Amino acid sequence: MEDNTIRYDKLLNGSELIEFENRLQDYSITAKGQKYEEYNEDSEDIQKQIESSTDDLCQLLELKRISMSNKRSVGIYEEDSNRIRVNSILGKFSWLGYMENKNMYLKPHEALLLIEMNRLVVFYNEVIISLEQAYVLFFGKNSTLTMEEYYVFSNLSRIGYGVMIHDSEYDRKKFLAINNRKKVKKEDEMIWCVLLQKLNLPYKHEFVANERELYLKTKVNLRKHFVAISGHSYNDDDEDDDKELYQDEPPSKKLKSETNEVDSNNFIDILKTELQYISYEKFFQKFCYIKRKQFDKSLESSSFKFNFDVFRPKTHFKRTEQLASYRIIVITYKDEFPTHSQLEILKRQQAYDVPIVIATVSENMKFHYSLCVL
Amino acid sequence: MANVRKPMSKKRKYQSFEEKPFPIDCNLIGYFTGLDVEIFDENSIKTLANCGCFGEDSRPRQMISAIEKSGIEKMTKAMYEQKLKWREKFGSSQAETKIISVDGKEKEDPFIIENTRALFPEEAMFLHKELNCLEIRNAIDGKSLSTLELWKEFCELNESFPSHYAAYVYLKSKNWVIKLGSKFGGIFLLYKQGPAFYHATYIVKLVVNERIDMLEFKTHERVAENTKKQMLYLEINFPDDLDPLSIENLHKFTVREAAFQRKILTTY
Repeated sequence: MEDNTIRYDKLLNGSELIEFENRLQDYSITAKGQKYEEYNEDSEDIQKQIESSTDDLCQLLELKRISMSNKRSVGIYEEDSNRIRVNSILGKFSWLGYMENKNMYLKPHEALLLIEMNRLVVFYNEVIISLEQAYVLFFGKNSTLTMEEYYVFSNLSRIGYGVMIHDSEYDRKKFLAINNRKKVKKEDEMIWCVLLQKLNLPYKHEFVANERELYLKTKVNLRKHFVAISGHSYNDDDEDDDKELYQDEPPSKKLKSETNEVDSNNFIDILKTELQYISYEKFFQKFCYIKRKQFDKSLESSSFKFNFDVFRPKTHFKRTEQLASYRIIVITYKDEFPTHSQLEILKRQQAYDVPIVIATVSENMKFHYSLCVL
Repeated sequence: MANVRKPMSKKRKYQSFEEKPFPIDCNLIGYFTGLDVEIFDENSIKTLANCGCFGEDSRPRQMISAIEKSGIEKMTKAMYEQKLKWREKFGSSQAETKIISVDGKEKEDPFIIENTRALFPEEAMFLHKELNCLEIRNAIDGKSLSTLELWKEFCELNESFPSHYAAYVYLKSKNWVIKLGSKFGGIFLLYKQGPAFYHATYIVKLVVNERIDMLEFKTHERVAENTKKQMLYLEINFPDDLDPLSIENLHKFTVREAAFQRKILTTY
């Protein structure tokens, strides 16, 4: 631990360095041992085995480890704002930390991860914080994360993902900024929407509902192109659509019908595009009287929240340019499982659709991730 | 939509696919035995099997495929001898003759056992009520049962029959072929086209006025993962002030769905 560090005034010579390294490598704890059919803690054999393995572990922990003190970044803990100011940065932190007034700051959980990985030394009132002290300090009074959440965070970051605490407002702004940068023309986007709608694939319903006039215009244009290319007249089954094109319904009614479509478009409807369904649609319509429950914002509330946004690893990671790959909800085994409506509320809160992953943490800090499709 | 599991087709298909999703314009007769509804007529069995794959055959699936391949039913010598004994004991009143092959030799079947097709209650109710193509009679006295009588009978068998039936109709209206899911620990299994053509895509569990139990959820998820399926949880809602057992309130049921799948995040 940090308290026991002995600082050598002289540099170690080559043979000493090798000796230190070799000693570390000689010790390795293995899970080997005799298997017993009946387990008695009192029997001598088992007592001996336990003693010898605990001795091994103690010896391994007692060994001196060598590292250069200037290979770690140095930070100072600011108690008032509960963050760590990094004074000297070594290596790349990629998605960790944030800049403020030309200073780099780390959140407590990020600092703890770096301390665990031996990349950071944190001073608090000019004293180095040990790992144990860091746990107490950072998860004390004003902690942002619970222990379970931290374990999920550390697990995912060690795998290689970029993990950030979910901030819906920041997320929305980022999404809009990225969309603006792409500068897709409205007209171009509408063509895609019409084509996707034709193929019964998911498309931006809100966009189509807002730009009703443009939608009708592009639809008529596309039909003209279809006739010009194929040479056939346009024989479409959905004549209702044609009526819709030329009728002047009040826009509020049209909007309502659009929103209903959003609700009915679902992952379970994939077989509706099959030829079998289309040719016997009348028969199917007879018994489709059991509907999907409509989402009512006013009736439902959710106590769950997104904990993290997870980003797929990339060589040149830029926080402002990459969109999240998953959103994580952390729950423990003692918690209640979120209901369908709670999950749906969470899904509708998002600025853009991202797969939801529920991480359950057990008492022995094992994780289980399950993907949720709504 | 990228995370939705797609139906996996089977390599060997021992049945030709007919496009009819359910029997249309036919009058089938089934007998309610107290547990399920059974069909005895051979032509009716064929139409049910080909159009929408309703019901379960009394013979094993391998046996049916073997008959379709070779055109003749094979029988072991022990089975043949057993059937001869049965003939002595119970006598034979059969008018038809059936030729089978016993160890490669063609012989006459001494004791014909008729194959039947069993429909589970939701399936039978669907064919009877929504499609009007199945007349159901009582197996004991042969009297035909009305829709209301049937509904009562099925509700006595299983108290949660209305919610099960609502889920059945909801899924059926989306063109899924539905089978009982006790094999995989669920209530229903959902197939595209039928078990002969595709592997099941979803294992369905119903959530009625309760939360999903965490431990149960994990076990189901594991089973689904190992069998390359997805768990589909259907939340069934019904207004509190109405009687759910009444057939008139059936359309008041609403359904909401969510599918779960174990995700291994170590591989990206």
